[in-house]
Amino acid sequence: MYRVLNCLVEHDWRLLVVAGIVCFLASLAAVNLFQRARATRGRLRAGWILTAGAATGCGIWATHFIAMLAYDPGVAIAYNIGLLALSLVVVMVVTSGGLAFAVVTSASWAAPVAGAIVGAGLASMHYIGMWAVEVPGRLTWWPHLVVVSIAIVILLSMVGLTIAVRRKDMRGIAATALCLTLAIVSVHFIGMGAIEIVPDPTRVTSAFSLSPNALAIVVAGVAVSIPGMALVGAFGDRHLNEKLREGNLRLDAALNNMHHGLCMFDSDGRLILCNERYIQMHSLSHDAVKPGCTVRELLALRKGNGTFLGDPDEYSTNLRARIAEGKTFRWIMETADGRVTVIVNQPIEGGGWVATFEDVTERRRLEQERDRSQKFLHTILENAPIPIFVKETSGLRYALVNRAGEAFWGISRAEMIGKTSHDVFPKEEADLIAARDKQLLQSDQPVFDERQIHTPRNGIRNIVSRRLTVCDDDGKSRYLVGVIEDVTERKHVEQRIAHMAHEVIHLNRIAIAGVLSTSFAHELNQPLGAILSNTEAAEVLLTANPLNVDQLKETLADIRRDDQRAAEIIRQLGGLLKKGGEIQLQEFDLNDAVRCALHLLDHEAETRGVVPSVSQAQAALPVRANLVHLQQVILNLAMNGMDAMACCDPGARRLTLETVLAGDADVEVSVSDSGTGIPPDKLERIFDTFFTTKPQGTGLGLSIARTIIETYGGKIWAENRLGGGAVFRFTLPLARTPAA
Amino acid sequence: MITKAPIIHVVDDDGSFRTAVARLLQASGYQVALYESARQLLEKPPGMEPGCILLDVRMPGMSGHELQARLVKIGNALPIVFLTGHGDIRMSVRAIKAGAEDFLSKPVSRKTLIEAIQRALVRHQEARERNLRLASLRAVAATLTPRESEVFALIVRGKLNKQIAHELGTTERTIKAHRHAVMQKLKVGSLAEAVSIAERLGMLPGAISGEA
Repeated sequence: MYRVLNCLVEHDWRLLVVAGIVCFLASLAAVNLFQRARATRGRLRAGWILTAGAATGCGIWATHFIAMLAYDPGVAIAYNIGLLALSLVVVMVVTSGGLAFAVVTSASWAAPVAGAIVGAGLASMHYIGMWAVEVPGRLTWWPHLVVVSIAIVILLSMVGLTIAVRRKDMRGIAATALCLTLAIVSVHFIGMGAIEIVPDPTRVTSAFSLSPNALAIVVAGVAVSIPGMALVGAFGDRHLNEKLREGNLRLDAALNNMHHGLCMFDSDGRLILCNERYIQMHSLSHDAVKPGCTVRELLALRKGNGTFLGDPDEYSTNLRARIAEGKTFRWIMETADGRVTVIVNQPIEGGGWVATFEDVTERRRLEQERDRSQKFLHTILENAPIPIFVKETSGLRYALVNRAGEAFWGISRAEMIGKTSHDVFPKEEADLIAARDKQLLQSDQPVFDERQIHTPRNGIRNIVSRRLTVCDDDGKSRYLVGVIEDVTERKHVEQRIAHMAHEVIHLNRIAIAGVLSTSFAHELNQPLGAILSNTEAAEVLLTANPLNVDQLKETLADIRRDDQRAAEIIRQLGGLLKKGGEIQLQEFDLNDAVRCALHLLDHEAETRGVVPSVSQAQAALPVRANLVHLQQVILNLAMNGMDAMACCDPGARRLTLETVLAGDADVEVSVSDSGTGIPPDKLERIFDTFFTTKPQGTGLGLSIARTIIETYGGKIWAENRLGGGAVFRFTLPLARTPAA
Repeated sequence: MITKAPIIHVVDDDGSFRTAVARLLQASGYQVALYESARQLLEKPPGMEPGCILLDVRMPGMSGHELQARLVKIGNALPIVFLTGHGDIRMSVRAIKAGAEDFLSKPVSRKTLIEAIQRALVRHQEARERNLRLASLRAVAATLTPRESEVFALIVRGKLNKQIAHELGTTERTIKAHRHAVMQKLKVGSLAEAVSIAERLGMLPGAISGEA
């Protein structure tokens, strides 16, 4: 100790003060730079570390040599330039390494270790620096003081770094700088105390040595670099502050624009910050919500305006208890106006917590709606009275079967879901199903299938099945949907309707035949009359002498011919009355049909004082239909026309039947009368079944006419004629192009 | 009077029936003329020879009823027997009212047909004779001078000679002479007979022409 104090005496105290100030400033700069390094990342951090190392190195170096300049051992001192430089490089490198270690490693032992490295760097600088001293004499050392000096520098560095890592504020920086200053000063003066110079004039300084005057200039240069580095640090600081402020502004913007409400409380339950959304969502005022107000106060405010329905005391107690346990506190709150908010209180380091508030009313409503619509669809599917099934296209296993499906097949869905048709149905049936499925998947067109199926409950049924694929969002077919319709009843009804229609058409013909019976009787009596006359003439001729055999033969031939004619007429009537089982299609000239019909009508027309006329197309009009049916249509139309003229003057009852070619492929038949016409509002409906304008009408004639014409691919309609009366027209497709 | 067989004019559109009826009527001793339409008959109306028309009611073109009306119009008095395939009461009443002799339905037996034709022929004969008598009376009446005709017209109205002379502006004697001439020419002996002739000639109001 004495040696150390003694050594101090050998120094110029004014320079020592300068050295101390330089050392402290350098330490401050170094610590500051070190803190910057810790706050940054990447290459920037490496820069800060190197700068901090350089500052520390320069600081100790300048301190050391200012102190050396202040040292007057009584002999001339020179310095080896190489070692001088080495000492600066070594301290910079080692110190940078130590600081880097402290920055990079986060373990608790890292700071002391880093401190030790820094201390070692400081010590090595001092002793390399001493090595550079060249005096005309020998240096002797006190080893225990050397050890002490090294121990103290390392210890103080460790303390300094530990403080630097723990405390970032100004006081921490100052304390660290003080520690480092103490460490540097200690190593120097204890180290100097350990030296004893024995003058030896034989020893001369080498050529590459620096005189104390030259050293003073170098030291001044290095010392000046320290404020330079501090400036760099300060600049960096301002830059950092700007970045920080910018960051804060961004954070504020983010906080205030986020969809969630957000509050941050400290460990005392006092508000640190909250965002706009929080204030707005709870209808609070900016004046009432201030940093420092308690969670309890905020809850009371919200209770007051109806945005909190619970008990503020109970809630805040529960909340604080949970946060104290370090657990997240979740809360779903419904307010009186039906809004639902999810609150999450997340504890943070240091005992406070962050509370987020999310308004999930809309989401909830959408979820509920989705649930409802899903349930709704499910209910519909389940209660749909037609069997519905769904299969996955890969593997063709049943994925869904509705209740009607279960009932239809008599198989529970538990036995079907996840199985293929071959697992569920007999092979023959399953093969058919598989074939249809395959057809659908290959064509990607809906597949319709009508067939008979044996069901366990209802026996053989006629079904129509429809299959189609349902695609995913990516357009690939994912599901196969099948709907089965039981058409057994419908088929029966259709057959019955067809049968009844046939009956009605036949009854209509019988009615026509009834009306035309007079006509038929007249027609039939012609040949019968001729036969009777011929027979009686023959009887007379037989009494003649000589017998006129030729005349008799002729008479008999006439009798036979008239008999055949009578038979033909009866056959015609029979045709009209016959209840044809299968409709016989034949090709005939429509002109003939019209002529025949008119012939049948002749007598009736005369009786009613109607003058019928025919205008026929020149060409033959071959159509393919049933002759009796078409005669029936023409007779129906003609008799309607005659009915319509019952009130007209006897001289003005004209019925005209006309046939014309309509285009290349159709023939048109019209039946026009000079009667009262059809009321315009009834034109549309006259072909409806049971619709009639006549007091004694059945409303069947025109409906039957339409049924017949449409059966043969034609159309029928009615118009009123300009000059009065109505015209009924129908078209039929030509069986082939008529011969010109 | 009947020296030649009467002619039956058969009008029917049905050729087969026409032939059969013609055959029967010829076998039964009548002459037959055949027409396939009413128009054909009207083109060459039958004369006054004994006969009758056998007419179908229902024919294309002109119907039997129309032909009947036309024949009456042109003064053809041949009796008409209607024959129809299917007659009803309305139709027969119409025909009879228009002067038809009979209305028969096909098929008709020979007996019925011949009877009807015979009745018609007899009636026609009677009418013919009546007409002949009337014609001779008219011929006689035509021989009267105009003055005699005037006197005759007044006599049959029951006027006295004195009244007639006054009316015609002549003397009673002259009238007496005319009266005598008229009675002579008409070959009548009494006023009653003269009145009967005047009546038949349709000279008296209220009298039915041609009827007794």
